[in-house]
Parts: sequence; structure tokens; C-alpha cells
Amino acid sequence: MCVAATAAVVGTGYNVYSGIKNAKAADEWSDQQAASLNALTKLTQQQWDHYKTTYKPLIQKAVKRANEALPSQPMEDKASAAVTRAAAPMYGKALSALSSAGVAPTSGNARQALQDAVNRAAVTEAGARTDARTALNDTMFNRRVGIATTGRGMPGQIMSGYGNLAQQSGTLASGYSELAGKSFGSAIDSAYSFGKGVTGALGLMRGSGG
Amino acid sequence: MGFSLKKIFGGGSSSNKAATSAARSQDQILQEQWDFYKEQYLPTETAVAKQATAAIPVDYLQARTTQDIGKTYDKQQGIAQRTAERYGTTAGSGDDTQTQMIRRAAEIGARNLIKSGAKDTELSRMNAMAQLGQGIPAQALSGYSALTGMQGSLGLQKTAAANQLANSVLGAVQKSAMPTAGWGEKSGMSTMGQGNSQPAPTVSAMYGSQSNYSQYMSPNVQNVYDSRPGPWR
Repeated sequence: MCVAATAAVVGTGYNVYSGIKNAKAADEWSDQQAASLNALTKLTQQQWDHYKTTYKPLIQKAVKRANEALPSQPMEDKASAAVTRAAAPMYGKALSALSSAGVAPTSGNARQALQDAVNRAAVTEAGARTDARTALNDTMFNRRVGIATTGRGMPGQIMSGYGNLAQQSGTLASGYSELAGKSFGSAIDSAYSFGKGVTGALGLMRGSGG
Repeated sequence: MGFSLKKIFGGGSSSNKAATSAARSQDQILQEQWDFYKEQYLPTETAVAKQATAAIPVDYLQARTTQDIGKTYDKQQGIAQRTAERYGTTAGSGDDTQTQMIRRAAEIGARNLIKSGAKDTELSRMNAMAQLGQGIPAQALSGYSALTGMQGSLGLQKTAAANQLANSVLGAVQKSAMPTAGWGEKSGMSTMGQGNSQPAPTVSAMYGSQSNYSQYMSPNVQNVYDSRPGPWR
């Protein structure tokens, strides 16, 4: 009898000791989890702020720039100027070369050679102007597509985010629902105990009165 | 790292609050991002889609090229003339047959290139836009799929909450009807809704065991109960 009682006391003591030890460990790891969550909260907020202050204005600027119409005239004139810069000296060089070869600049062959050079230069310059105009139009389109591509993933991210949020909200609803249940249960228990106490007291009073 | 009962017992509530706060921040970010997308990207996508499907003004571009050829011929002819004058000669007027043929050929070639190039450009622009929007149906399907799953769980969630409330009220009614009996303790009603792993008792479960129920009735009610026909008992 005495041995059994001692064993029960020792067993109980060990269980209490284990309980405290495990509760302490649980508490320590909970603190670690809380610290990690705090760090995550800070980092998340910092990253979001960084995005808002650094990237959002940049994106706004890029979107504005991508939607700006590019004036074609300067680009066409620039292309023309480049061709002329290359072609103009060639007329003199051609006449000099012909002259050195014994062909008089006033001769029909020299004049024909000069006209060939004019033809090549004029066609090249017109082509350069057309290319500049087309390239400009393509550039405007490609700029818009480029910026639109950078933002195309956003709706998906947002939809996915709302999906996650809906799931988390469900978890929260369950948590709060459980808390509500606990509160209702406690309230009912309290009211029940109170009623039981009052009934008991009334019974005692009746008993002593009778 | 101190041991604290308050921390242990207050943990659930504070976690719920932190999770609520995080969920609200998430909601805010999502709303901000959606607004940002609507303000910045959506108009660009709409504009570029319009541009991609718009026909390239071939006639206008051809006319511009013809005009360019005329101008560049005049310009180069002028430069060549000034150079020739330095050599004591003239460059000619460019009216010769060969020059006129070359000029005409250049114009026709350019017009044809513009025409065929415009068709290619229109197609490649539409392709680019089609590729840009290719992922949208998958996103929409994924969104609807998530919705289907979650709408169902939302229904369950609301039903569970309503059940919890109904069972709590029912428990209160049961206890008040049997103030001196330990029905709640025996049936598990006292722990009802407290997050224990046992399912909360349902109305059918309570009334399904009439024989157990009868022992908690007052003597008068018990007599009435006993006088009922067999199937009811």
C-alpha cells in the first residue's frame, strides 16, 4: 500500500517535471518563432516600401515614356544627313579619279559616272528615310509591348494573392469561430454553475426553513 | 525566453490578431497593386492592342516614300552640280532616260516593299499581342477553380459557425430545462464548443438516445413519456 502510494507520488512528480520541461521548451521555440515572424514582418514591410519608393515611380516613368509618340521628322532628317555626309565627297573623288585616269570631267563618260553616283545616293537616302520612319513606328510599338510585358504578370499575382488571402481568411474565420465557441461554452457553463448554485442555496434555505 | 503562463494561454489570441493584421496588409497591398495595374499597365495594353490591330497606312507611307525619292534626287543632284562646277563642268539635269528609269524603279520597289512589309508587320504585331495575352485564360481558369473550391468551403465555414452557435444555444436550453441533472457533463455538453477534438453533439444525436434522455426527466414528464406507444420509446 505504502509502496504503491510512493510510486504514485514519484510518478506524478516526474510527470509534473516533464510537463514543465516540455512547456519551457515549447515556450522557447514559440519565442523563436515569434522572433522570426517579427523579422519577416519587418522585411516584408521594408521590401514593400522599397518597391513603392524605388520601383513604382520608375515604372510610372517608363510607362509614360513608352506611351510617348516619337517625332519622325528628326529621325528621317538624321538618316538623310548621314547618307549625304557619305555621298557628297564621293562626287569630287569620282571626278578627280576620272581626271587622273585621263577622262575629262566635261566628257560624256564623266558626266554619266557622276549621274550614276547621284542615282545611288538619292535612292540610298530615300531608303534611309523610309527605314527611319518604319523603325520609329516599330520602336513605339515595341516599347509599349515591352512595358506591357513587364506588367502582364501582375493580374495573375493579384488573383493568386486574393486566392491565398481567401484561404487565410477561412483559417482565421475558423480560429475566431473556435474562440466564439469557447466563449459561448464558458458563458453557458458559468450560467449553469450559477443556476445550480442558486438552486442549491434555495434548497438549503427551504430545508432549514421547513 | 522566460516561462510565462500568460504567453502560453494568450498565444492563440495574439496569433489570430497578428494573422488578421497580416491579412489586412495583404489585402491593402493587393488593392494597391490592382489599382497600379489599372492605372499604368491596363491603358498601355489597351493602346498597344489597338495599335496592333490597326491597319498600317500603306498609301500614306508609299506617298511619303515617293515624295522622299523626289526630294533626295533634287538634293543629290544639287550637291553633284555644285561639285561639278568646281571641276568646270555640269552634272546634268537628271532628265536622261537611264536616270528616269532608275528613279522610277526605285519608287516602284519602295512602294512594293512598303506594301508587303506592312502585312508582315501587322501580323507580327498581332502575334506579339496574342502572346502577351496568352496566359490570361489560364489565369481566369485558375481563378475560377480556386473560387469553386473556396466558395464551397465558405459555405461549410458559415454552416459550421451557425452550428456552433445553434449548439451553444441548444446546450443552454437543455441545461436550463434540467437544472439539477448532470446531463451536460455526461453528454459532453459542458465542453461543447471549446475546441476539443470531439464533435459537438447534434440535435439528432441528442434525441437519438431516448432511453438515456428519459432518466433526466422529472417524475411527471417521465410518466407521460412512459405512457407513450412503443415506437416513440
